[in-house]
Amino acid sequence: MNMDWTPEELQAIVDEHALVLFMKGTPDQAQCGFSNRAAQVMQTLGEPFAAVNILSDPRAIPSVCTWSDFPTMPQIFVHGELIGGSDIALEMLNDGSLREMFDAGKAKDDGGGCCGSC
Amino acid sequence: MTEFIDIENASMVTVDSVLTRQVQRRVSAGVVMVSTEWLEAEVHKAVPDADVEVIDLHRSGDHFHVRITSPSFEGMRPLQRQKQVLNHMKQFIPHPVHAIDLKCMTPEQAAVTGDTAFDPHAGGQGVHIRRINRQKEE
Repeated sequence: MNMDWTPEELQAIVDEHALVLFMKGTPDQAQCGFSNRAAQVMQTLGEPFAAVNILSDPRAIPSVCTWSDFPTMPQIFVHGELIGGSDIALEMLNDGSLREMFDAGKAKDDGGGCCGSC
Repeated sequence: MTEFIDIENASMVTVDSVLTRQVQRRVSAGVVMVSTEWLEAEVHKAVPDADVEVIDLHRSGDHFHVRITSPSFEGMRPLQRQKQVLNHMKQFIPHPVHAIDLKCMTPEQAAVTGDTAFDPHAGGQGVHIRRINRQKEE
């Protein structure tokens, strides 16, 4: 991936993918326990997600953290909105609110015309 | 170390000894370590009415599990709660605080929350922590 980690590029990633995980390493080979836990949450949710390895470029962490205004990694975005790190993601997986937020946004992404309950 | 974190299986003991060596290297390299008391005071600056419990996961002065209980979290989403703390703490991240795992709870949530903390260096496992303050109360 040829990235300059500009706010525009980062915004395009979270606009394009319903679930985005900025993490240290890859889901198969996470380089930090928190990133590993976040990847496991994504995998348990069972929906396709985009994983961005922020160790692939030394510019990535400061750029992402400034853009998102969140100081730690990993960071999870659902329909373009930052939900937080692995602790919040796990909490939201367990209480069902992650699924709720994903499904609610999906209905919105599909474009109007449906109440979401039919 | 073992008096602080219950290591429940042999593979974690290996992790434990590796971490001890890492801590020794960091100290000899002159890396600044902060105390749980310092972190607790900083968190209080962000959430003055909070009950704050700080656990130094490896006694390395840089990886912390922090439990923050405050009635002011009522009605706030998880990210809003953390941001209130992180907006103050981010000046200390990644140095001297390398990792901070926050649990921001209302008193009602705290009453039903278990004692397990997540340790990012324990092979993705949660570890049971002995919560010293709570044991004193019991």
